[in-house]
Amino acid sequence: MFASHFNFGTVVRSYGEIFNPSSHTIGSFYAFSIAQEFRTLVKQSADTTLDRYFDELTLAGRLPVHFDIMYNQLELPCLSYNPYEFEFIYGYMRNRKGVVISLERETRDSFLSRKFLEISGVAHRFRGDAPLVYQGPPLTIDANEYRAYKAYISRMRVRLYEAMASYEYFISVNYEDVLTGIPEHVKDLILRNAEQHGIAIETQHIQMRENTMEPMGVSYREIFKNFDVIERVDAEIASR
Amino acid sequence: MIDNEHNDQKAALTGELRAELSFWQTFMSSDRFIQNWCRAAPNPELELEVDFFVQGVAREIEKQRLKARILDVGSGPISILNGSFFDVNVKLIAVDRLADEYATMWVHDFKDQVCVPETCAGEDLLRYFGPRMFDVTHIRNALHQMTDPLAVVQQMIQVTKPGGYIVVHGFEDDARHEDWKGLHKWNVRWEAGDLVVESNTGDIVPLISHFESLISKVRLYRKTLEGERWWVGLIAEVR
Repeated sequence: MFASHFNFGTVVRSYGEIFNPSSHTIGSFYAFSIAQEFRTLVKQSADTTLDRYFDELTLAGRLPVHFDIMYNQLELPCLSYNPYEFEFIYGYMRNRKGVVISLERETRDSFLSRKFLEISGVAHRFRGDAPLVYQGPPLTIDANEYRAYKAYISRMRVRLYEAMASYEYFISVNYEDVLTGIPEHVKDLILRNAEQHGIAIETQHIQMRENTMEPMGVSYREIFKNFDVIERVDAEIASR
Repeated sequence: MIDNEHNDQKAALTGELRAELSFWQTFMSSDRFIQNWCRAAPNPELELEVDFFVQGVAREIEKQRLKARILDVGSGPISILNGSFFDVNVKLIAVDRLADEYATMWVHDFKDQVCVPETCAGEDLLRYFGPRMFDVTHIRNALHQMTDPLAVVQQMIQVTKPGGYIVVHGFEDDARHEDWKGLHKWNVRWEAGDLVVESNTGDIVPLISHFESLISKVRLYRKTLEGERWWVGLIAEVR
């Protein structure tokens, strides 16, 4: 989402999910790593490896870059010793004074959205798109899978907040609040961070037009025949 | 001597082994097993950083027009690395002491197209393969079930080429979590910059320190994997 927001602007270049190992495009960490001598990457410090990667990605440029990373990818950029107390990428971002934006969504919504993506292949919907109509067989929700997913997300958020405690360039935003654009206070944070790095940017150029992303607009209650499992698990966890 | 101990243990643990086999028999008939373990490339249940690492080693060797040799120890009925090398040429071998039993449990007709184990206990690797045979020797969430985990790690090191790597990873404190039942005889956990193995009597051996003359640490990590449980891993280069 932030990738497309930034690419509607001129000052932050987004490279998307660069650490996704199934992304083999030019610019991906995968492509970088296979172009290097792997043994060297394993022997040198993980910070050095990532500095070199970002230097190549930006051609040592002076404009800010953005990337997305998922919770399950946090350790992937670390090919050698992790010198930090927390997940490597958190330590690296703090150490290099980058902006860290936690894009958060109701766990229930992200779980259902992910399940729907698996069967529909549709991740986003944009203004003007035809309404999504699901015509397949009714789907079922596995209570244990949902329980484990909730616990995992909860734990990962705690880890993130611990790692980012008192870090001035960390911010969390709600998914529904940023569908069409980057909020002003996030732009201000990016601006302050850029200044700290000696980069002059103007906030109006961070995102120059509105994104047309919209909620999926599908009824998960109709798609998942045992939707009550979601409510039951939520109630069970809330009562603890 | 190891072989005798292993056989004694195997006889003594018949009920526990039966429970392990029963778990796999059920799992092997699930959609999850077929999709993730047999068809997906890579297996989405394999930790991304391990998949990335073993692929990186394999590609480096392929650049030299050679074929990496990868060993998966205590693999269960199929190697979790089965789908990791879909676009790089390697020789992947899996071993498990229960391989004969697993072989009788396969009901899918694509068994010959996936990496199923040969019968060998982790404690017998050196005798079975000989020294310095593999570029990467990997064990995932199985060390805590071995009869003699230190012997297994030692043999993993010995069958790996100098300059090659051993990869050890799995749930932290799994035996404690499972209340020491079944095959859960050892805890493996991250402690004071080392990966330690703990017996049910509280004896602790730190792997990196213990094998200091044979390996050098590349990575040691601890991360959340599922719910509130930790996953720990060690990647070390064989000297």
